[in-house]
Amino acid sequence: MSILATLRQPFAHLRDRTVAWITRGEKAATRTITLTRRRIYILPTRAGYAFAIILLVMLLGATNYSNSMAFVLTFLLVSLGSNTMWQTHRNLLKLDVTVEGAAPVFAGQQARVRVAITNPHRQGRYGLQLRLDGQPARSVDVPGQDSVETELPLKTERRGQLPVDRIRIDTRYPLGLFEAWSWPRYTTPVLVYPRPAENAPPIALSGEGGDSGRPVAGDGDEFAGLRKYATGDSPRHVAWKAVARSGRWLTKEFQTHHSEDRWLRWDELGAHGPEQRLSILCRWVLDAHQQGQPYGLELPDRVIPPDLSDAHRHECLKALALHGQRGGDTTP
Amino acid sequence: MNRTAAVDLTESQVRWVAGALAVAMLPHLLNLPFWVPAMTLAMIGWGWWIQHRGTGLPPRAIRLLLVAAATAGVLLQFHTLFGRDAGVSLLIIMLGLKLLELRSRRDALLALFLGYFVVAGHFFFTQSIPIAIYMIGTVWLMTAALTGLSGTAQPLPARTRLRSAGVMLAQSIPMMIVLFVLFPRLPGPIWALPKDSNSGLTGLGDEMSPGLISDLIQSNEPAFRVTFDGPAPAADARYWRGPVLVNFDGRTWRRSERPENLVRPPPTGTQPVSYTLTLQPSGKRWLLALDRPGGIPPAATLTPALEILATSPVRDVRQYRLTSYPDARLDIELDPWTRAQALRLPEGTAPQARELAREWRDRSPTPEAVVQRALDHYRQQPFYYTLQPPRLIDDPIDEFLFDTRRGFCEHYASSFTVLMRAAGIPARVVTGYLGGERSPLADYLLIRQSDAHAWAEVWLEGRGWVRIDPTAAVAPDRVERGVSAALGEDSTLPAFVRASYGASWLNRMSMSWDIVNYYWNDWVLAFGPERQRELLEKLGLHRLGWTAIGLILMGALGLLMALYAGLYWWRNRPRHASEVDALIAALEKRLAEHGYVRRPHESLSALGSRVAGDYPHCRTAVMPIVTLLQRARYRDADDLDHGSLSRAIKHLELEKRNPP
Repeated sequence: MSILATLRQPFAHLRDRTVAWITRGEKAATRTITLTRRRIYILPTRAGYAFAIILLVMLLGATNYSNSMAFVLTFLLVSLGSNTMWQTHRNLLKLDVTVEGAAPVFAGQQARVRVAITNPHRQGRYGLQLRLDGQPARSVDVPGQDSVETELPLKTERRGQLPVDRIRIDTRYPLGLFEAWSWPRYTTPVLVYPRPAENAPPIALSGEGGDSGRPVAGDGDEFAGLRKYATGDSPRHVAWKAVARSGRWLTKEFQTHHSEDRWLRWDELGAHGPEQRLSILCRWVLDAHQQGQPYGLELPDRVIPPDLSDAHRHECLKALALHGQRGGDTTP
Repeated sequence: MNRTAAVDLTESQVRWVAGALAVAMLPHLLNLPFWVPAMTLAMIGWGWWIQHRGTGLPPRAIRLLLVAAATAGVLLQFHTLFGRDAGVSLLIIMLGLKLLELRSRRDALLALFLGYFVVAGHFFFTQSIPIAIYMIGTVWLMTAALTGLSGTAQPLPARTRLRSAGVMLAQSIPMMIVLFVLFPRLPGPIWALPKDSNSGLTGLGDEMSPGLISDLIQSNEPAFRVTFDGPAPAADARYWRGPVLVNFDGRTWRRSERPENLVRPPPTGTQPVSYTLTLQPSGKRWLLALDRPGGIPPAATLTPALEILATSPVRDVRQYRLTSYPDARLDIELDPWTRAQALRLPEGTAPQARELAREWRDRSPTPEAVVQRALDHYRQQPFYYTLQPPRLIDDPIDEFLFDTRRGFCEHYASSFTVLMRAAGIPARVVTGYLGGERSPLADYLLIRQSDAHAWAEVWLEGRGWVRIDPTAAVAPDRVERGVSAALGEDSTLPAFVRASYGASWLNRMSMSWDIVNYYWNDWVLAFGPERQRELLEKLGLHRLGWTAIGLILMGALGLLMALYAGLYWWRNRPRHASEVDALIAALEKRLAEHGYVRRPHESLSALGSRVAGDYPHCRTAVMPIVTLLQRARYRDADDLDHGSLSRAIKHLELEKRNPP
């Protein structure tokens, strides 16, 4: 398999170049592309060629036996075949293909790009196959004047912003004799967090002064809020009233006046390469979030003050994802 | 490559494929030996059952065994694997087997494509209107089955399949007609036709032995139809000339064995009768013509005996125009070879008849007087016209003339010719048809196989060949009013040859149906290279040659496509902004009726959301309208479906049962 894949590599590259050349006049979009005539390509399928050969034989038979009804049938099927060329082309025409975005994922995971297809016409569009490069296709039918959303798998390898790029949307409806397709291209970015390190060193804790080894537990004297119960939490801290009210297990959090916030620092991982550092920091962010302890992140060019929330987690992971990338920090 | 029986077809897909193919197969029960279509139908049923139950496909060994058994069966049945019957049998059996190895979409596609072939196969057996209609229905079903194989996310409902297949087929008809009329037709056949391609056809043969014509007379099948340019000649003058028989062996009359390249120019006369004749396929080469033909249709020759022979057997409905001269003189000079042939009698046959003829000759001053004596003999002796004559055993001529005296045209023509030859007058038998029935509604004449007839021609000094019909002497009604009039009411005969048939409602109905067939033959089945050339000549295109006609065909197709494209564009034509505004105003008005007035600065989608927020169950009705209108207003209005949107707004209802 791997040999085959290596052999395919240059061809894949060549194919990408060819597609890029064919679609050179088409503009990429961030959100919606309407499939206009200029964006739709059409060729007979293998079944279409087989159909043509069968019709040729039928024509020969009709001529040989000078059989009028055989001529009628042959010509009817010829007309039907050429009619389906229009039908197949029209099955894509004027569809709106909108990339709605994708939830961020960690590098190596599969992103799921949400794509909506809107059909402005009364007639339904059937058998639309959508796929991102090298990924399995999703089949979609869009009824007349309706919109259907589907999720396309997208392979991620590296952290950063991965553009959705080309979606291939094709159809063989109605008879499978022709295939019409389009390659709408999207610059819409999918955010890819770094891959969390698998064997990360334990979180190197460092307070504000840079000294480490402070107690982890958030058991100061000032009530700070509620968080989800995690195994190991002291029963003393369970917010029984809240549990009774909501039925969900919650733990009261306390804070000391002295900041015991943890800082996850780039500088403390001097022994590792930059990507490895980001990977480890990513793991630490996840762990710290899991443990429910406010944490801050310190990167060479960015400092995120300690906090504890999903938004904060996202911000930290995003900072890691975009670290060192052009314009990384300015995008929202 | 994939040996596991993994099937990636759904049951509904297989059901459609199997169903459509079974429907295509059914009429072959009438065409082929019963076991062939029955075996195929069984395999189709089995194929469907496999998918239905989800059991595995039968092992390869069983399929190979079935292939071998079926091939052996076809060989045993037809003694060949080629030709129409054996070929179609093999095709449909293999198609049945394909159903036992349906794995992928590709298998199913191939099966349906072969199914179209099976449909074409029917037309090599019959091209009647009912079969044509049935087959168009079958094509519709198969096309609907194909739409289910085009990778839709959900299986299409039957109605959607049938509608989209029906619409596509209907849209294909104009182009089909253009191709049918203009696509260059080559005169077939390209390769040698198998022998059985003519089987099942009725018509005159190239010999006449007792009983042959009576078989034909029992058949109600149409032989040909004729439209005259002017008034039709009287029934007793409508002799349709076919094969001329000169060689007699005492029992059977045969055509001359003269080489075929011997041809003659057509004779002419002074009273031309022009007509168009549409001949049913006979599997023979005769082209019938009103006696005596004064021309030669395309791709045919005229023999010295004035028979028109097509260059190849007539396997399909064939139409030609001809002019005949009933008064044309034929062979004023008789060449010695023909004369000798027309006087030859086999040794030792019909001694009594020879004796009688010699006596007539000795007592008559001229050959004309001999002819008259012979006719008087038939008239005065107790001869009867009947389709069920007693069997003639040893010497058919003498037994008929002096013993049984019961028979029909072939007996009279045959015995009369023998008498003439014995009297030293060159004579021969001409077979063909006589009369024909006028269609009550359309202006044509229908000649059935039951109008088959035989008469005699004698050669007289100074007059050439003269037609003498001895049957007329015995049964004048046969000549003037047809077989049924001559026979009277006889319940042992088929209904259509009885006297009462002509006026019956059954006959009227059959004649009305014949009109439909007449036009079907005329416009569809007879349309071959000749009709095409004729049509192009009428359009003034005959001088253009095939390249130009090819260009015209391309032009016509292009025009058709442009028409479709124009129609499509018109239905989705760019909308003027004011049309969109009018729709928006209509929506605002409609919503205002329900108490939702658009506030200043409120966007259309905000208004829509406000309504949808109050009537959540109406969201699906309101929001698409709003979205489409906004799209049209702010992006492009090119493809706005104005009509349906306007209707949707008009019928927009906000249900009162969930008030805000």
